[in-house]
Amino acid sequence: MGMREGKPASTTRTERWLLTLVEGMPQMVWRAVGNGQWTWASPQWFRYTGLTPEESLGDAWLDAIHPEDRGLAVSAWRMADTLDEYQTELRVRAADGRYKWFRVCADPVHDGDNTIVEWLGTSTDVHDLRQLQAEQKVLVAELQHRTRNLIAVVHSIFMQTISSAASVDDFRNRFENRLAALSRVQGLLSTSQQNPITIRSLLDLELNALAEARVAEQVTLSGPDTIIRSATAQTLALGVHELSTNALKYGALSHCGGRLHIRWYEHAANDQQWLCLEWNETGAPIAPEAQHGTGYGRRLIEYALPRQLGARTRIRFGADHMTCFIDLPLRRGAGEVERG
Amino acid sequence: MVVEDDALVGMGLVCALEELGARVFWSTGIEDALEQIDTVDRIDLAIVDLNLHGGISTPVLDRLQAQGVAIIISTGYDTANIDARFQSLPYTEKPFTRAKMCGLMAQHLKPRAIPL
Repeated sequence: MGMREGKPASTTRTERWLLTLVEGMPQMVWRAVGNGQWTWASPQWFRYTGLTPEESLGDAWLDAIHPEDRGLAVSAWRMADTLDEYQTELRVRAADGRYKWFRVCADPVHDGDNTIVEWLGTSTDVHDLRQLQAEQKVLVAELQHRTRNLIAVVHSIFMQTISSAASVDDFRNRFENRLAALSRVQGLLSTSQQNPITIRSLLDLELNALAEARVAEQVTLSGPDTIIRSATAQTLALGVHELSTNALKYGALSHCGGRLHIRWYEHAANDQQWLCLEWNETGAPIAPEAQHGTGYGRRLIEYALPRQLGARTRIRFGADHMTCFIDLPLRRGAGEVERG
Repeated sequence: MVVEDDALVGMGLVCALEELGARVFWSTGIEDALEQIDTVDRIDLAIVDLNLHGGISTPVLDRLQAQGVAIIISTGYDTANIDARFQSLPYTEKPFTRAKMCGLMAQHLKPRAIPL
């Protein structure tokens, strides 16, 4: 190889073989003398940058390097003789004006006196790799944050369950059940990228886990397949868990004659879309304990949901019926970041 | 005052503080918190989550500092994220035990909060 003006007439077989290799590999190949004075570059360079040989050879190639990385390119050349190698990563401008990251390496060719005659270099596209590395860093930080948050949630449930527990058995029961509900919703969240969480999937999951035997006979669910934000799912799922537990212990699902009707619909109010969920228990005496429960469920629905999710909630009790309304904003303003 | 955007975490914190005898105001967002600071008569202590709905609670911390309120920062992130202005504030990583909270409160509550 060696001529920048096309192939010389009399190339040997080895030269043709090398030229095919150099011109066919995905990397850009170049030759340089001194401190980065290019004498030749392979067609990949000209194709990628859209530059001519005049705009590339000598130190003209520096112009295609991102202005922030030019210093890096030059300083790596200053070190090259001492280190006996040239290595750096920098952004190179493509023909369309966009920059991509390249890993640039060169090795010196020595003559018999061990003097450096020239440098043979390659520039490898590592743009996707760098982007993936950056994304991975963000993901790991987010994962760490979520893990801590989940521990804080468990801690919080623990504190509130223990402060209202009647006995150790009572505590164990309630705490285990709440942890199980939290774990179920994590299952939904873990696949929410592929399968967005709908209000129906959340209700189905919780009711089937707690009262599978009674669901077919006593529970009706009706409403559209509204997708809820994943930031909403965890708190809402625990709210549904408390309602379901209460219905099983003290309400409609504690008697075979009781009925639980859950219906939901979307509506627009105050310039935004809302999801209204109506939880209706009828046909069975509601035990007075239902009104108090441990207090945790009511607190969650009447106090926490409105604060975190901007929901409007109302719980009403009668002798043989119980109704809970949860009116949930579906989308917040554009300024809010979806955190999953 | 509690500034915490996660309902489940916030509820536990409010509960724990109420059990200790405090009267607690709970905000879940920056605007909500700023409004509370302006309307509530006197705040003795604020426990502030550093990240609210993906944003940093800097405006809340600034307003609280301007009013001389004792602040405890709570965070699920590394403290490297904390602005230099707030580096000297006491902070605790979530979750924190009741003992840790009581300790921090005893240490940082200003004397006027203790009834004579």
